[in-house]
Amino acid sequence: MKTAALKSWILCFAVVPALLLVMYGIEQFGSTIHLRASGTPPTEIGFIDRAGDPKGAETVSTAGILSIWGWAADTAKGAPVDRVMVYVDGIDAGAAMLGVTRRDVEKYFSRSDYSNCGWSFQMPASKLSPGKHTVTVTASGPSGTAQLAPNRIITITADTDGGRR
Amino acid sequence: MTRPFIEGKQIRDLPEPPSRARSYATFNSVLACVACLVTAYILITSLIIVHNAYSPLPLMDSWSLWQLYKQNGNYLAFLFQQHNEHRIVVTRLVYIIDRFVFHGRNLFPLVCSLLLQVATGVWLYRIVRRTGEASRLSRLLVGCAICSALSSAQQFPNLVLGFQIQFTMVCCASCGSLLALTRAAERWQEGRDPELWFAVSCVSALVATYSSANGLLLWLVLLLFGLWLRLPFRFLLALLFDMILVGLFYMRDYHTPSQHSSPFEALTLHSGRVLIVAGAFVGSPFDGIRAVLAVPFGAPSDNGRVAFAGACGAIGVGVLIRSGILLWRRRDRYTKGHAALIHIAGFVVLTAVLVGLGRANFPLVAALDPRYATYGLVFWIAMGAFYWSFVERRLGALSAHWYQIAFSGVVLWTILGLAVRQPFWIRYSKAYGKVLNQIQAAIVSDVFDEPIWQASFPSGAAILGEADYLRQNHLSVFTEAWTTWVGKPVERLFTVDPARSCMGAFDSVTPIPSQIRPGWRVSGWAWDRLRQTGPGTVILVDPTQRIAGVVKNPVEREEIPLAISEVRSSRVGWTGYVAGSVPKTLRAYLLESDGRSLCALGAPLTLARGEDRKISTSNPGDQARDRLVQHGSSW
Repeated sequence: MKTAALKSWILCFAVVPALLLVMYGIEQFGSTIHLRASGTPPTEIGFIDRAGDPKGAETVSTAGILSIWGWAADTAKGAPVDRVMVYVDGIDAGAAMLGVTRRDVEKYFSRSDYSNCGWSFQMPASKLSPGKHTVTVTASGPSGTAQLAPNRIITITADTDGGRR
Repeated sequence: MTRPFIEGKQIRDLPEPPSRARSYATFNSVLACVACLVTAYILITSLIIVHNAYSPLPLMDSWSLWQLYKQNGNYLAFLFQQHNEHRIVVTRLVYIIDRFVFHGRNLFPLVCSLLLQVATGVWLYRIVRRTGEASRLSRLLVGCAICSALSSAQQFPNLVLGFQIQFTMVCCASCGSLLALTRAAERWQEGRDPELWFAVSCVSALVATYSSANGLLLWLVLLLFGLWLRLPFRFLLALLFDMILVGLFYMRDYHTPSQHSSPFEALTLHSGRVLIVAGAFVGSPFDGIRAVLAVPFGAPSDNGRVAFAGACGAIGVGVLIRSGILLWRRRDRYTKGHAALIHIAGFVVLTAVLVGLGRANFPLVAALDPRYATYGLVFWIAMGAFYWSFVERRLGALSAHWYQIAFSGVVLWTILGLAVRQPFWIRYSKAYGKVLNQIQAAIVSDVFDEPIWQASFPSGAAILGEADYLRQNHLSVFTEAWTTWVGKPVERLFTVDPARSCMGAFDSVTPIPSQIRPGWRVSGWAWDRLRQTGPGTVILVDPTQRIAGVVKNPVEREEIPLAISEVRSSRVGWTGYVAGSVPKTLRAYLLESDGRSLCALGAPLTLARGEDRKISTSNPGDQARDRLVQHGSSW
């Protein structure tokens, strides 16, 4: 009898509070992960928009030009950052040109000091061997150095007709 | 105990002469067939509409999931974050399942939303059955009316957009919650344990609350309903306790969105406006009937539409208030089904007032937004079913002749109010689908054609990163192989068919001089001579024989079949994008039915920076255009 009464009271009073408690736990768990992520200070932020041929295809022939572009900003100082370095397979390929206007990034973050956060980099693809290569980019500024996401995979193909096309 | 209104009486049992009874039976069969046919028509046309307007890409508010994910880095951190005035935990959970199980293709939320509409219909029907005994034909007609209303396309966004699951979910959960409480009361009266059904009712109410903000009002409605049902004190106490607890938890860190009116200000300064919005909200399903009846008088002003819907809504609310008073004063004359229906209608009216309070600063016509039509339809189903049971009881004492008139009225309402507008929504869904195709073409090609991106999200540039995220993670439309073709050598994927079994050409090219992601918009037409159809896919190839663009969106080009007799369809146009800023020459190929062979379309096209231009090479498209110009048709 006691068990039945207990069951009755649990079903009446405990279901909603229990669900709310579970929901609160999920919320707190999510916030903790978020705090951990945002607590680390990679204060140089940015993105590699594209790596490949000038129109963005990930495959470039050895006769072509490898183009890489994106944006980078310092969350404290804004943009442009001090330096954006490009690496192919971990080897320094050179510094990117800074100061490209990026109204989309400015609008997205509602930060007018991000308006010139774009960067671009070009190099002859002939400097790379045919096959797949990984492009990584770092941005350096007053708040430190951070690697920009994501790593881009490009494919260099051999130019079979001496670039006559 | 409640007394059934018509004690299992069928039409054929009525005391009529045999010949007349036979003619009534025949007429009833015809009515049943018409009702079923009309319902099937609405269902099928609505499914066509859903098909026309489906896109795997996010649209408008549904981009928010990806934006929040990119800002927060995990899906749980923003589960409870406000979306406008709502906390849409349930919607977000559905989208998280879609992302991890169904690759974010938007289909899972859409199917769930449609299934919820089915469930709402089932719950409503089960409640209606609790209003008393009814004839078989009556049950069939009520079922058809519920099915037709809940599948009617006047709730267009709620049928075609998965994100609108918050609307269908709150309707389904509120009807389910009231039904479960009814069931709990029935079990208690039968001397059986009601607790499980009570718990189901509370959980449904919690689901409604975390689907849409108006779900909070359901707790108050449940408490009133519980009082009417004379549930034991502990149940009422539990409902009150849950209402306060959920309310406090919900309002923690809550803020009124900046674009909305302050409810207190709206109530004190704009109470008239709030009432108009609420009335129009409830009466919005009549906007469709008005549109049908007003065809000879031309398009009315927005104020005229609001006034008509507001008047209908005011009548509905007036009848509800009267019914509610009677329900409480003469409790023994009503069944639990009646009370549940009145409380469902009451929930919709409270929702309408809440919308009025939050949106008093919006244009009045916003109350006729098709997404609100689901609430309005549920209100009128509830009110209609409530009074239908009385009509049945009265008619039971009269002759079968009156039955025919009443039943015919239900069928006529279904046809006039719901079915007649379906062709309009089919046309609308086609135009809508065309815009979705353009958005898809621009996003997949990664060309920032700003007006097109803005059609997907008001600030088009704000979703560039989200589109990249979808592409990199092979989500949404990027699960489809064709989205990865750009940049690949054409010979690796296809072979050029020298038999030339197609015809077509480039028509126009427009540079997209975006600072962010430039490119060109190119268009043309194509006709597959082998299959006798328009283009399924058109491949654009650059001089290095790499794929520069893929076009998957056939569009209507009615002038082409008029000009070229061999072309037998108007769906022969195509519009696509080529990314980049370096001028180049393109060739267009039609992908043939085998999925491997390409057929060259007309002369190559040279892309250049500068003004828009029409292609002036001598090709069938130009010939078609020339003939149209000669005949004075508009281009």
